[in-house]
Formats: sequence, structure tokens, C-alpha cells
Amino acid sequence: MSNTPSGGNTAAIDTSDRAADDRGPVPAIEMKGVSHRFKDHQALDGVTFKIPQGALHGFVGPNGAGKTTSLKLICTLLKPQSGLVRVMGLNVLTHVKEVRQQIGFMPDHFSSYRQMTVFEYLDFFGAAYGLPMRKRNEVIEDVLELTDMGGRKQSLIGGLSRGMQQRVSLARVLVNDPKLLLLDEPASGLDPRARIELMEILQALQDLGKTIFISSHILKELEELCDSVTIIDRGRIKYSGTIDELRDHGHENIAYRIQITNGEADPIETLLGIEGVVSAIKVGNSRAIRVTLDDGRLSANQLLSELISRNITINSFEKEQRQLNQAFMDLTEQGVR
Amino acid sequence: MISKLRNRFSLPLLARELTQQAGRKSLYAARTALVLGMILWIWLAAGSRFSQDSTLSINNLGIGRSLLRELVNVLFIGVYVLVPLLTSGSIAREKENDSLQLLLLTRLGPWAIILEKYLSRVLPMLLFLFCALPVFAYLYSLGGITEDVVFSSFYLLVLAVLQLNALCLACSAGTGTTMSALVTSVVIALGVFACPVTTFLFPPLLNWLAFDGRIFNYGTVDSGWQNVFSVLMASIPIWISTGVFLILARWLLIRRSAVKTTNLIYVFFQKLDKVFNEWNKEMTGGIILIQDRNDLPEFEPVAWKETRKTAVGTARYLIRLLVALELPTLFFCAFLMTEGVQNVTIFYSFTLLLLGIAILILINKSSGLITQERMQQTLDVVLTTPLEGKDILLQKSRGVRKLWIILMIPLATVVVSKTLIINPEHQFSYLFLIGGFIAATAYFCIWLSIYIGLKQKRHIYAVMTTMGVIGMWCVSFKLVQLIDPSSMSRDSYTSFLMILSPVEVLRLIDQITEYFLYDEAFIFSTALGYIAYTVAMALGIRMYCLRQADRLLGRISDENSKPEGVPNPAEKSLQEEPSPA
Repeated sequence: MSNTPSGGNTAAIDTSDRAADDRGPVPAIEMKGVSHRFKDHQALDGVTFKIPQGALHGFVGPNGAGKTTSLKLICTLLKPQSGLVRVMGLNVLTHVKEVRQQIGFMPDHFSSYRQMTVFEYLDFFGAAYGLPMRKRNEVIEDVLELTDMGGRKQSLIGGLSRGMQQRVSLARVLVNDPKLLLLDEPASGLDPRARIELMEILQALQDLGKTIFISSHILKELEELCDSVTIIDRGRIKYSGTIDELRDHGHENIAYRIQITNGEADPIETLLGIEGVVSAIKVGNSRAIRVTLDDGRLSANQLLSELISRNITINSFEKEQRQLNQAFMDLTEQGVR
Repeated sequence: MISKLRNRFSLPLLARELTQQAGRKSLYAARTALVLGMILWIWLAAGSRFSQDSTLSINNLGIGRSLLRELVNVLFIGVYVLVPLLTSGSIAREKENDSLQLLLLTRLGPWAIILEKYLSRVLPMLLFLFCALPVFAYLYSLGGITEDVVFSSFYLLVLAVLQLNALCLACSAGTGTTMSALVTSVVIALGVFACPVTTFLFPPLLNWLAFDGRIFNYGTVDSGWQNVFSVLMASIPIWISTGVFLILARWLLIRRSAVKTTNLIYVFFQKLDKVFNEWNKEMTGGIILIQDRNDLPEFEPVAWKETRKTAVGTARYLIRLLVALELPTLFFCAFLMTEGVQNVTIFYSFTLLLLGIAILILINKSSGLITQERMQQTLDVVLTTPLEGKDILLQKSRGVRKLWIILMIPLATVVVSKTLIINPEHQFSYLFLIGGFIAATAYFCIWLSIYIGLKQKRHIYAVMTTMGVIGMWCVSFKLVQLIDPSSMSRDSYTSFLMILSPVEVLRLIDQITEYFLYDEAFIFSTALGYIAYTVAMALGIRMYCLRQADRLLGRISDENSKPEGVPNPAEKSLQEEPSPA
């Protein structure tokens, strides 16, 4: 997976058929130097990233960052103006039909035919994917069971709750047994319970070997759910990689949270007295102190040894990790486009 | 103090509406085209009526009267076409966008919302009418009209704008979608203005009477300001109706602010269904001859959806529609036939009316095939399936085909009825030409609507655009006549020009029995020419739509797709390129 920012524009549309790097496993999604412009608005500018197969990958960015445009390019609704888009190693320009067979797309709005029953709706899409009628029944039963909607298959979609409609939508995405699921804001508008249940279903799908690409604004959930994440802002990729790497990405100095007791002495002054400690700040109303170390001069082990040698009691010590939302704020620019 | 007053009397909604309208290029284009068209029309019409010997200007005196009458009629038509189109969405669109509730939470009261919305639609229309004033002045200079006629004509035009806007605003406040507001406005306006009891509320009628000075003075021409006073008195009920419509709009604004979108056709069919079921129970004890199939799609899911899951697609509803249209038609035709050949001319009007209704229903259905899916946001998921764009379109058109057949049956009844009472010598020719004419016109309208529906995002815009194009098509021969009066002769040039307009061709076919007007060869060549070019145009549009289906639907075309195993010259160069990772 690439964790480099986007490169420059590719001059022309790339129509090569197979994945560039045949040495490793074929990535589920590969975008290389993709640019797209709507009249005077540059939606994507040299977007480059890869998502490996089997990943549960988050795609985040502020409003107007280019998330929906990227999704539309991947699911063959938009033609890339320059660059290369591959799904399961297939170029979306030259293998349109094959790509459509491999993907299941769930847009941010719930798009369903309200006058159909759940079963009719799923059967409609089964037929659209060319599944034979006998096989369709089995598949529909399976996906309904997976999404826990088996008891509502004869209900009219228009009469279902938002959470249930979202489950139907997810069931529809699974009808053609796609390798790649593209989900645009799947949890928006859901209550906490429906949200947690949806996340559980997504994890179960990942266990079944599906690659799941989720565009979302809910960073906390993405952090808990996804292995990796891509951050896009103003049409450019700011980060693409694992969440663990993102936590350390861009940190100049490593921070720790520590609680110490040193008799009557001020713990902050004690810490600042140690060579290599850049800062020591009290965290809120707690007794914890946030200490930043100069990575080249003082390691965590050295700090602890120093404290022990000075007979200072260490009550707690932990490495501070950046939350996804903090990383997101650091990487994206203020204001809307 | 001043800022407080400014805040108190500011009109934020009106400002927003006018700013939004100012940002729409299409509205500028439409208004400019209308004003230019009006000026061009009056220039051509006046030019064609000037005496051949233009040196004797005395010969031209007095033609202003007939020209003014025509201009005012055209302006009334413009008002009655444009106002429902522009005003129907004023409040209904806020509901579509879920913004009406937010608007009601602001400091703006219901009356402020209604009046600002009302003014935002009235002002642009009045501006359009003011553009006609210089033309009024020019016609006045041609003589034949007095100041009171000019005043009362303009006054009644303004009144028509005010009244119709209020009516459309009330409909917009009472319905959930722009389309249903438009349909409701048209139905209520037709009901009010066509009803003999309330027809005095129709400003054009008042204008026709005022033009001849016949208001309160039947039979005598009164040229003084007494006529103006009569018009003002006679227009009081129109002012009252305008007020009533505004109060109704205010009342509906709150009561129907959270109304859910309902498919009017579906509701109509449900009601119709209920009536038929009751009749069936009473008469047969509930025997059902044709049961709706409740099957699932086998290979063509989109066609299945169009013919099983839409209001105007299901066999049961289509049969109901057929019976609802066919029964009165059959009864009316039987009545006319008993009277014999003297009713031939009534059949023409009846055919025109039924054809108009059929075309309107087909336009609504065909243009909504794709726009409805776009508006309900269901199109994207269908487009990500492997179904080919061409297949999606063809399967979608399956529902329209059924409706087309059903709508053609009452028309066929009228045509056959007329055929039976005309001279047997012309029966075959008439039947052949009118049959070809109706089928070709409907087929063209269907594919034109589908094409425009593919290009537009909203259903209402697609219907408006299609109606505009078909309207221009219908009056095209009249426009040519204005530019070139010599096209009134009966030679091949006239025949060529006549095929441009379906209304002219229909009139021509209807006159097949009247040799003294046109000879049969002329009628045949013109009608066949029309049928040939209309079918050719329809096929051309159909071919274009199917070839460009993917692009028009909004996805990557699979034309670029290659069969497996075909090498790509770009592949090698890319493989040599190092991986960016």
C-alpha cells in the first residue's frame, strides 16, 4: 500500500489492461495519477493509492474533497480524464463489464424502489447481474440471513425503518457476490444500535474475504473498524496507509503520559530538569503529565532509568497515540472548497 | 433606527428568489426569445398586412385593431403557458428539498412567505408584459384602436398574471412535488375557467367582450372611458378570486407543509380500482377474468419493473385506463354517428383533443423514465450492474409501448367512427393516412421525450422542454407563413412546408373529402411526406439514444471493453514502469 502523497498529473488516460505490478498480489483498487475536472472545479488532482485485497479500508476527507468522485470512478460511473483506475487488476476503461461484476456499490443515499418487497428488490438486482432464477433464490436467502433480514423478505421496502433499509441495501450489494464492496457513508442516519450491528456485519464480510472500501465522516468508527485509511483533501491524497502508521505519521517528537510522585517537588519542574525532555504539560485536571521527548537525545527507557535513579515514584507511564481525528485535522486544510 | 426599519421591512425571501432566478441562464434565454419572438411576429404580421401600394399610407390605417387583438391573444397564451410552469415549483420545490420546514422556523411568518413567493413570480412576468408596451404603442399608431382598449387589454393581462399566479401558488402550497402542483394547477384552472358558472373569472373572456365594448352594453360599441369603468367593475370578481387563492395558499402552507410526495396517477388508479371492484362485486359477484401476474423478473428486470411495478404499466391499471377513456369515447362517437355526416367536423376537434391528451400522457411517462430514477436516486445502483445501457433504455421503453397501445384504442374508435360516416370513396385513404399520422406522431413524441428525459435532471424540466419543442413544431407552419405569405398557395413548396407542422397535416387529412379545398394527390403527398420524415426523425433519435445510451445515462460506455486475450500496446510500457509503492 502506498503511503506517499499524490503525484503529478498523468498526461493521458491509461488503458492498460492488467495490474502494473504482477510480482505481488493484485490490489483490489489501484488509482494512479488520476485527475478529474468538472468545468472549473478540479475534483481530483493526480490521485494515487492502492488498496490490497481483503482490506477493510476507510476513505475520509472533508466535504468536497473528492471522495464521491473517486468512488464514481472506481464503480464505472465516471470516466477518468487522465490516469489509471484498476479494480482487481482490471482497467475500468477497458473491462467495464468485468469490473461491474466484481463490485457492489452502495451510494450515500438509500436508493431503492419503495413499491417493491425486499425479496422482489433483491431478485431484481439478481436478474440485473444475470444470475439464473434458481440460483437467485438461494443467494437471496443467504444474503438475507447474513444481514438478519430473513423475517422481512415479504415486507414493502417503503415501510421499513432506516436501519432496515440500510440492511436491505447491503444485502443488495452482496447479491452478485462481489469481491469489492464500495460503501459511501453506510452508517449515516442510523441509530447507535443499527450502526454497531452494521459494523459487525462489515467485519463478518471481511472475514469472508471481501475487500471493503468505506467512505465515511465518522472517524471514530473507521478507527475501530478499519485496518487502513486514505485521507483525501482538495482532490489530493494526503495519506494512504495503515492506521497505526498514521498515528505516528508527522510526529516530530514522541509524546508520553506519565504520573510521578517526587515528595514535595513540582513534578513538571522535575521532568523539565531532565536533559532531552522538550515539554511537560499537565493534562486537564488529572495528575497526568504529557511529556515530549527529543527522539534523538532521550528514549523512553532512558527517561524511566533517569527517574528511577532519582528515586522518583512512577505511578503510570504510557505512550501517547494520536487519534484518527487529530491526524485528520493535521493533514487536511481548514475551510471548505 | 434605520437599520431596524430596514430589517423590519426587508424581503429576504423575495431577494433570494429573484437572485436565484437571475442566476438561471435558461430563464434569460427563454425571456429574451419570447420578447424577440413577439417583436418579430408583430413586424412580420404588420408587414404582411400592409397594403401592396405602400405609398398610400392611408390604406394601412386601422390595421392596428386586428393586430392588437392578435397580440393580446398571443400574450394571454404566453401567460397561461408560462405562469403554471414558473410558479408550480415555488413552494413545492421547497418541500422536495426539505427546506420549507426550515423556512417556517425563521422569523418570516406564513403571510410573508406567501407574499414574497408570490411577488417573486409575479414581478418577472410583469416585466415580460411591460416589454410589450412599446409594441402596444406602435400598434396604436397604426390606428383603429382607442386608449381605453389599450388600457383594458393591458389591465386584463396584468390581472391574468396576478390571478393565475395566486392559483398556482395555492396548488404549490397544497401538493408535495412540482409535477403534481403543475398538474393540479392545470386541472383546477381548466375546471374554473371552463365551468359555465365561473367562466366570468377568465380574464381573456372579459378582454374579448371589452374589445368590442360589450361589457354591460351588449350589442353596442362604446368607445369612451365608460368602457374602462365597465372593465374595472367586471374585473372585481377576478380580484376577489385572486385574494381567495392567496388566502388558500396561506392556509395550505401550514396544513400541507409536511405532505408526503404522492403519485397522483397512482392515487387516481387506486380510486378507479376501488370503483371497478365495487361494480364487479355488484354485477358479477367478484369474478376476475384477468389476474395480475405476481411473478419475478426472469431475464429483463428493468422491463419487469416497468410493466409490473409502475402505476401506468400494470395490466390491471392499463385496462382500467382503457375502459375509463374508451367508454365515453364510444358513447360520444355513437351519438355523433346517429346524426350522420353533418358531424364530420366535430370528429376533427374530438380527434385533436384525444390526440393531445394521449401525447401529453406519453410525454409525461416517456420523459420520466430516466428523470424519475435520477430524482429518486435509484439510477446509480442500476448503472453499476452489468446491464448494457442500450438494454436499460429498451427495457424501460417497454412500459411506454403498452401505454401507447392503450391510448391509441380510443383514438382508433374515433377514427373508425368517422370513417364509417364519410363518403365510401375516401374511406380507405382517410383511414390509412390518419392511422399513419397518429402512429408516427406518437412514436416521434415518445422518443423525443425519452431523449430529452436523458438530458434533463428533473422530470418537470424534461416535460416542459418536450412540450416546448412539440409546441414549436406545431406552430412552425404558421411561423413560415408569417415570414413568407406566398406559402399559402397549394403547390409542392407549400406541401413541403406543411409537413413541418402536425396540426396542419391533421387538418389537411381531415379535409380529404372536400375536393374543393385540396386535391387528393396533394393531401396524399403531404401526409405521406409527413409520416416518412416523422418516422425517420423518431428512428434517428432512437438510434442516437441507443448508441449513446451509456454516455447519456451517465456511466462509462462498455464500447471500449475488449474481449479477453486481446493484447494492449500500452500494457507493455506500463509493466516496465516501476510501481509507485
